[in-house]
Amino acid sequence: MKKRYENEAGTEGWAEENQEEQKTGNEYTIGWNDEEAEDVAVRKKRKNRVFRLTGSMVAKIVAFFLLAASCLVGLGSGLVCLYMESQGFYTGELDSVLIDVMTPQCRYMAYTAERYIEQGDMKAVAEMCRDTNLDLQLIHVDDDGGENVLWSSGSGDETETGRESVLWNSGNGDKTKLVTDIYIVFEEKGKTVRINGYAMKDDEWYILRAYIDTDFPFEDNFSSMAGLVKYLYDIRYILIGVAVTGIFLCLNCFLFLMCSAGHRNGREGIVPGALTAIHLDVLTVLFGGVAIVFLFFMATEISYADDILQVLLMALGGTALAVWMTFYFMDFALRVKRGRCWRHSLVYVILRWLGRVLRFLGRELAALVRGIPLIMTTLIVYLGICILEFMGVILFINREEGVMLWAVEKAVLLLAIMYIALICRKLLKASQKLADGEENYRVDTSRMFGAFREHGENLNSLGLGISKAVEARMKSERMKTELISNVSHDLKTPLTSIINYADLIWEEVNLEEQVSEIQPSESQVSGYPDPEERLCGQGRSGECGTEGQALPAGSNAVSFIDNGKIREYAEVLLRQSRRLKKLLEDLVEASKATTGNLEVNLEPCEVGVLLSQAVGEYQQRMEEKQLELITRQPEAMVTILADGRRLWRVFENLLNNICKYAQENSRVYLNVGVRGDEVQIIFRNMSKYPLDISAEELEERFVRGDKSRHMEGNGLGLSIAKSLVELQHGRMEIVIDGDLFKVMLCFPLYSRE
Amino acid sequence: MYHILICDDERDIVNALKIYLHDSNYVLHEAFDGREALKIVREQEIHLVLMDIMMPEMDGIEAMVKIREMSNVPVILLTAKSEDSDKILGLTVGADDYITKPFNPVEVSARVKSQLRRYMQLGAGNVRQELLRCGGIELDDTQKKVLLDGEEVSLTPTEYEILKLLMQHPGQVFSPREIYRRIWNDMPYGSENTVAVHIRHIREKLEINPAEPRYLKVVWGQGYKCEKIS
Repeated sequence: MKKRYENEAGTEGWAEENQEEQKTGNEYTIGWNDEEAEDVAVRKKRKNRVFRLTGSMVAKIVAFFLLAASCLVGLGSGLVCLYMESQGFYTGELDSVLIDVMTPQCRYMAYTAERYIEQGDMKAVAEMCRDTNLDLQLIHVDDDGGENVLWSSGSGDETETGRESVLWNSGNGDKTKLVTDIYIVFEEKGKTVRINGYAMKDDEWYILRAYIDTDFPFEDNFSSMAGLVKYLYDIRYILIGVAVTGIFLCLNCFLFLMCSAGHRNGREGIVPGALTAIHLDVLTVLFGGVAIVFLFFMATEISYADDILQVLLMALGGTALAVWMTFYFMDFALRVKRGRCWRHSLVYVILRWLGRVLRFLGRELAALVRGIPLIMTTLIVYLGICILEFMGVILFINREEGVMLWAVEKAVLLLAIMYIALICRKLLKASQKLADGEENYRVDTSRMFGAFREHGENLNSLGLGISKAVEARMKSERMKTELISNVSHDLKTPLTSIINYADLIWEEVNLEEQVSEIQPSESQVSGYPDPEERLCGQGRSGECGTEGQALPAGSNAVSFIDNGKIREYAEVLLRQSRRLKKLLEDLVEASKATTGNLEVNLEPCEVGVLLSQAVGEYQQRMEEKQLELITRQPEAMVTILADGRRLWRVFENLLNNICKYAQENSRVYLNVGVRGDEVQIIFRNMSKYPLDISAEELEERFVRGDKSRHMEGNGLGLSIAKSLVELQHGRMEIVIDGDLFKVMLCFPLYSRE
Repeated sequence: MYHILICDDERDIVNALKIYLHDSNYVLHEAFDGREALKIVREQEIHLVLMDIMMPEMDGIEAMVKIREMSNVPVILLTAKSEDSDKILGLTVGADDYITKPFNPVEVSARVKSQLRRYMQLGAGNVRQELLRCGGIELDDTQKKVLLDGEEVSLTPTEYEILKLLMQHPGQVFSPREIYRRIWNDMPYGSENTVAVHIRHIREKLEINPAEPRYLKVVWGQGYKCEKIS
């Protein structure tokens, strides 16, 4: 299609095209080897061409004129075809077409003749018919249907049909062929008219029969018309082709103009035209108004004329209209291409302004209403409804419309109430969800109003707050766990070195001592060091140390420092660092247990088995401390739900405590009892030291039975045990009764055999 | 002569370990990150790797995975990460043992020795059918002998029977009552405590650290089992 436009775009376009072709041809020869360059060149050329054609002003102007011309041709020939179709050109023979075409002219002549006849002036009629291809016959139709030719302007030979009586004939009996009948009513105007001896009667039908000589011996309207008709009849099918081609071409031009609208060579994007500044709807009204006025004018001018000239006039008018509207549509297409064309319209601007005003008013009104307390608002609405109803009752009492109005009012009221109920349900659901801990649930408040909306938004922000708090808490928990494990890792690494090197020093000194023991010198204790023992040796070794400085250098570095002292220091280091290690481990465990950052796998756990395992693990240690461990458990197998490892940790802590703090040569009781639905595990022992603190205090972290803190241990054991028991859904109680120290672990009974 | 690789980013710990493991039978190599350790394992014939987890460049877990791709040398992880999940991860990825810091030097050298013995002497696969084996423990029922890492351990007849029972059913948990019934052929009436004491004794004889047994595990509140190790 575009190619064709190019061809028809005139010599200028051709020349340009050829030039470019040559140019690209040169490019080909230059970059012949380089396929890529060739490809680029082709693409460039193609792009250029499309761009050039739609952007070219010349192409547009040419297309525009082409549109006008093809529209004129297409519309003209199309209208002629339509006209011809109405005259039967495509269905009938040439003769019938001729009759159809000539009938109006004949009728016109017949009416002229009628006026003459009414005056009885037949000579004038004959004069009118002379030297024309028309002959007229005046025929009287009998009451029974027969006709009498009263008069004929031509020959009346073949009219001997019997019933018709020709009253008058204008012709001389030439060979005529085409016949058309025109009925006329004779009106008597004062005097009687006699034609060929026949008296014309008032208010009777007569026929004026027009004959046309198809040889057309005379030069008149009829002959020229017949010539035209014959010519048209010959080209009637060609004309259809011309019409279709013209209209097709016209449409193509139109499409091309639509496509090219807004494109201009050398400029990016869509360039606004001269009309674009005008608002769309103003432009539409302007163009549409002009078009409608023009159409109206054309219709009034042309409607009562149906000859070929009028048809051509119509085509001309249509073309003008098409050209006029093309301007409009081109601009419209341009606006569509630019997008959001409706935005640039007066109506839109006005509506937007109106909307802004309305929104402002609405906001003001809402603020006003919001200022009124809810109770008042409700009351006002209620009173308003009451007043409306009252007015309705007064106006429509005793009237049928009143019932209708009442029903309508109730229906509207029902809708309003249902709407409010729906909102209430939504809010209720939301609060229910919030209460169930679904803090991510949100109410859709977009369809609510007033206080409901406010309430919904409050619920939403409440949920948001909760979810934020939960998130923050989760984060802090996570960070806490990470912190615990990181800190413990970072503390353990240097601690490892400290312990190891303290141990190494200790071993070194020990070795030295053994050596010095073998080489007889001041003999010291052999075997495992004991703090007390070394303490008494301190004085001596201190002296030894000062003396040792005088010893010759070159001997073992350790040897000239007092061994006993070093050994003691090393031992303190070792002991304290081990204590630190234990403390660190306990601290980590305690913090994990209290924050619940421990994985607990609850499974059935047999208390009796646990008890005997405890005995197995601790009997020896207890015996070393001269403690007698006595266990008592019910005959039946008692199981609880617990995490065996965690529960053992509790046992370990408690039994370690017992080993540490129980009075020597006493008995330790480990009992299991079932009371109702509860399993009680009771540890009982006599304390070595007087217990002058409360049970609650003992459960606290870092609180120890001996306030002087001489003993090893750090006071975390009971705290850890309590947390662990609670993690397993149990409960730990401490009872202090004088020197009796009693710990009771209670777990729900799982099963019992 | 055994080649032992010690790998830790803390030089002091490497040095301490070198002092502890000082033995005429050991040749000690040192590395300070996973990459270095890997390089040494590639270049040198190493019989045991003692490695930290948290190290720069390449951590112990990654290095161990790489080592496992080329050799089945015993790897002992020596780390401050004492979480259960860390231990499980280390052991499943291919470590043979796991020691947490701060460590007991005696325990470290015992475990090193144990792993070396297993790897060098028993690893050849001269497994006899009548032998019951669980990790480093071998129970020869024909000679009524128990070997730990190739060295004989003396057990009392009752201890031997209990061990045999547990080793015959690796992975299965026996309650003290069940063990009593099977070994003493008698119904236990409050005498399960004996079983627990016996097992504690067996553990003391067989395990390096009885509080953290490798082979004879205590399932608290349920009973005892022998770990299922090939």
